[in-house]
Order: sequence, then structure tokens, then C-alpha cells
Amino acid sequence: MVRHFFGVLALALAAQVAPAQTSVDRTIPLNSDGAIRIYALAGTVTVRAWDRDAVTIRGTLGAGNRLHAGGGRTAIKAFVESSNEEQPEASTLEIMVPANAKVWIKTATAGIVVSGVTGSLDTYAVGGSIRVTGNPADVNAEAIDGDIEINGNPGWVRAKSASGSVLLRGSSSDATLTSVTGRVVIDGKPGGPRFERARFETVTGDIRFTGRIERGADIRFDSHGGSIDVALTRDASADLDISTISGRISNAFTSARPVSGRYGRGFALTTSAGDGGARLSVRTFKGNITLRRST
Amino acid sequence: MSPARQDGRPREPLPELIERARAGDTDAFELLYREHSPRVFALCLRLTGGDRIEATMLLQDAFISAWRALPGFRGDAPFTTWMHRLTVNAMLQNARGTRRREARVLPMDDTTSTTAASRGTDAGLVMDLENAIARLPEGARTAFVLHHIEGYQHQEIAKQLGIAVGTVKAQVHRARGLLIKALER
Amino acid sequence: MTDHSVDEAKVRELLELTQALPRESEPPASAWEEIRAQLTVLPAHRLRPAAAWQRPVFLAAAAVLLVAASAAVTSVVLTRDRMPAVSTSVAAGRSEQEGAAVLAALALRENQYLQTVNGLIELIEANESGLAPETTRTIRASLLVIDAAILEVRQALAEDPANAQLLEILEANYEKKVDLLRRTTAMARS
Repeated sequence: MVRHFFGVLALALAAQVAPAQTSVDRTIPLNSDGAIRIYALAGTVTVRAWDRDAVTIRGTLGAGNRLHAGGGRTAIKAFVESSNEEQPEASTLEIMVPANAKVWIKTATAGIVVSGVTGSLDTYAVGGSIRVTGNPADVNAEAIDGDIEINGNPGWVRAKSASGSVLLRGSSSDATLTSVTGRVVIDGKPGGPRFERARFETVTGDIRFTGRIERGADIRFDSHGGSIDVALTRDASADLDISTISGRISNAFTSARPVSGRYGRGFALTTSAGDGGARLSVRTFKGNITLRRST
Repeated sequence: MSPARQDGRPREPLPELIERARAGDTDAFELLYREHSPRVFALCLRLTGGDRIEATMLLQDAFISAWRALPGFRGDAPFTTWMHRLTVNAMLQNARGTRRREARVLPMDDTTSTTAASRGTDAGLVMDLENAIARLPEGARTAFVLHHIEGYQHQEIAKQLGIAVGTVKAQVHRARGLLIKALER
Repeated sequence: MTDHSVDEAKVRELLELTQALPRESEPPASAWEEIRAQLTVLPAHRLRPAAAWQRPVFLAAAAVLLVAASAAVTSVVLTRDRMPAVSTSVAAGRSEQEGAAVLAALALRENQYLQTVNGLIELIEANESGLAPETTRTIRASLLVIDAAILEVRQALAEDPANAQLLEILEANYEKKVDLLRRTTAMARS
């Protein structure tokens, strides 16, 4: 009897102290090429693609949060409202969307994870990180202090962070990746598209590139103080224009040696590989530059 | 002691500089900044665990606060002491309502170029201590820096941080223990 | 020796070492420019250290560049909406004037950037409640980094105003600053 009483008391106390979270499970029809906008403040938002013409929202809302979701077959909006916007409780959402949908997500501190989407993807994480897997037609990913990681071959990509790192494991024909103080890393995988137009920029973060470039490509690397390491494949055909005001240049890609800079300051290297054709420009103010062959 | 003015001109007396700055003379305030910023920046670096960017922002906040608060400066305490109080207040203001980021410990490579009162002590050991201070938990670091480096009494620290004197003493004691352990490694 | 006296000895050693710590450290050169900008550009009631969006005033520095113009700077081509390009041919007797022209054009261009930057900062301040304090601090720190980079390039330009590469790098750094502020504005509002 005493044991049973304490058991009941323990359960009652657990119920009193447990956070008042709410489970959600909603399904809303959406055309295969429809649009969905998702707003959440804190927690995580995971979006996965499927082959159904519908959106399903499942997960757990933090205490004091409410989910508002609705719309028509062409466009849906899902919004997590928090009773305390200054310090919102975390919500965990898992959202299934039609693969070819146009997906737009904005969070405050919540992390964003997206996989399998083949349509258009816009992600904004003010204080969280962004991870995208798959081959969206186009990706726009913006973070302030979160990292951005893209695994796949988006047709077009713009990824910008202020202090976070930006990582592309894959390639794209049109890419702009920037960070102020974070690293920018491009790890091109075999089999993906070649880079045709690309801008990789930092102020103090390092830039690392390994990938294949298209004939006639226009690729630019720019950092004020970060180091830049460019590894090109043997078959790369490019005209390279490398310069630094006070950094160093080392070239293990061609036999050319750096010379004094154009204006009598720093170093410059102009060299060509293959038949030329692609334009590759690498510039720093004081970061070191390394050019080499990828293995 | 701050280095003598590099241009060789005699220093303007502090009360006159303060009067001019109080009247809105930014050149006079700049002279105050040039004179006192190295001392304040050293404090900022230690309070932020060696994070130069945070320390720079804290330095800027402190001097901007000083500019606004100059009309109220009566000279009861030395100007340096007053600046240090503003610096600690600025640090507390930034910390309030903000999730503190993990303290980033950056190499303190600029300490070798500062006006060091090394007194013949092994420079490597001093560097080790500097790094160990930067790695202290925030509360312990603040208390240790204010008490043992800046010379504040426990009561003064308690008042400024808004905590009990006993807590300050405990944090100082904790810092000492952690530093001794760190230096023994 | 008891444990207590060993501890006391270690504490004494620690405190002696503490006395040897440097009491001063030189702040970054750009730190004063940021403070000065706050004192002179913003009205007093907007001086909020917690929301100190830094706006270095480079026009004063541009005057320094005018004074430091190199005698080797010559024919200047001013292209609309771009930093002035400089060719390297030397023309005796005209170099100082043309150097001054380059730098005057630079000051004008920087003024345009400053106006854009100031406008964006006003928008951010109007919507600052849309940003968490952590985020504000990250943005501020990033702006500091960009401003330090801008200052480095300007210092290099002061010694070498004919250097078109430096002008390009300077413009690129300004563009990064504007881009960050634009993104922040959009994040703060939506």
C-alpha cells in the first residue's frame, strides 16, 4: 500500500514537473510543384521530400508554442508561434514535402535540415545552422553565425554566413559561397557538374577548393586575410591570374613561378594550364595562396 | 605607468583634459583614450578570456560610456579606477540577457609587445599563466582578475557585480586553485 | 611541510607570478576610429553601447591620403560607379594633381558607400528587436573584422595610391560590408 502510494505520488509529481509540450501531426494537400513557407523560432526544422502531393507536419512543440498551418493546394504556410519570443521554447518539427516543391524556411535559432528536395530551396537561419542534402534545382542558404553545409549538386547555389563556415560537398554550375570569418570549403565529388561560374569569398576565413571546372568557366577566389588553397584536376584548362599584396604564392600546378606584383608590391602569378579557356582569378590582401593538383 | 607621449610634447594635466572632453572636445577625449586605453584593453582582454574581438568591442563600449558619463565624473576616484568600473559595467551589461558564448581562447601573442613589468620572471611562465587565466570559468576569471590583477577588494567587487561577498571570495579561491593546478601540468 | 603550508606556498608563488603579468596591452589601431565615429556621427541619444553599429568615418582618412599622394600616380580614368582606375604612365609635373584627383574620387566613392551603410544601419536599428543579442554581437564582430580589413587596405593605399589592385580590394571589402548589412536588414525585418 505504501509502495503503491509513493508510486502514484511519483507519477503525479512527474506530471506536474514535465514540460507542457504538445505533439503535432497534420497533413495538408499540396501540389507537387506547390510552395511551402515555414517559420520557426527555436529547436529544429527537418524537411524531407517524398513523392506524395501533400505536406505532413509532425513533431513536438515546446511549452507555450502553437502551430498555425494552412493554405491551398498551390501554397501552404506553417508558422510556430511562441508565447515568449525573447526566449522561445524549442520545437522539433519533421515536415514531409513534395519533392519538387518550392520550400522556404526561416528560423531564429532553430537548426534547419533539408534532404531530397529537388525544387527550389530558400533557407534563412538567423542563429542556427543549415544542412542540405540532395540536388535542389537552386539553393539559397543564409546564416549569421551558423554553419552551412550542402551535400550534393544543386543547380545553382548561394550560401552566405557571417561567422559560420560554408561547406559544399559536391559541385554546382553556378555557386557563390561566402563567409566573413568562417571557412569556405568546396569538396567537389567526381560525377557532379563542373563549376562554370563561381565566387568564393571571405574576409579572414580560409578557402579550400577541390573540384572540376568547365571550359570557359569564370571562377573567382577572394580573401582579405584568409589563406586560399586551390586544387585543380589534371585535365583543367584554365588561364590563372593570381595576386597578393603581402601574402605568399606557391604553385605546384604549373611550372610558372610568382613574380613581383604588377604595381611593384606583393606577388603575382599568371599561368595557363591545358588549352586555357577558363578564367580563374585568385586574390588576397595578405592571405597565402596555394595552387596544386588534386589527387 | 603609461609610456611618455611619443611626440615629446608635455602631457596636458588630466583635470584640464577631462574638462575639455566634458565640454565636447573629441580631441581631448582622444588624448584620454591614448593615455588610458592600453590599461583598459588589458583588462578587457582578461575579462573576455583573451578574445581580441570581444575585448575590442568591450573597450569601445567602455569609452563610449565614459564619453556619456563624463559630466558625472567628479574626481572622487582616480580616472583609471572610474574607467575600470565602466569597463566592468559594460561587460555586465553585455552579458545580461545574452546567452554567453563559450569563451574563445586566442593566442595572446600581443602580450610580448606590451609594456610588461616582467621583473625578470620567466616569460614562458607568464604566458602560461595568461593562458590559464583565459581558460578559467567566467565567474572565477572575473573575480580573480579584478581582485588579484586590478587590486579591488572583495566588497568592491561584490558591489559592482551584484553578488555576495562570500561568493566573490569563493570565486577567487576557486580561481587560485584552478590556476595552480593548470600551472603544475 | 604540511599540505596547508604547501598550498600557501603555491598561492604565494601564483600571486608573485600574477604581479609579473603585463598591466597594459595595445588595442587594435582601428578601435579608436570606431569610437570616434560614434562620438561625432551619431546624435547623443542614440549612443547605446549595446547597439553600437560601427561606422568608421573614412573621410578624415581620405584627407590623409590626399596629403600622402604619391608622385608616381598619373593618368586617371574615372569610370561611373566604380573605383577610379589608374594607368601607370608617369607624367612629370602633373603627378601630384592627378594623385589628388584619384584620392578625391576615392573619397567620393567611399562617401557613397558610407551613405549606403548608414542607411542600412538605420533600418537595422529600427528593427533591432527582431534580432537576438547573440546575433547582434556576431554581426558587430563581423563588421569589426571587415572594418579592420578596410583600414589595412586604406593604410596600404596611403603609401601607394597608384595601386589599382588595392582600390579593387578596398571596393571588394566595402561590398562585403554592404552585403552583410543588407542581409542583416532583411533578417531583422522579416
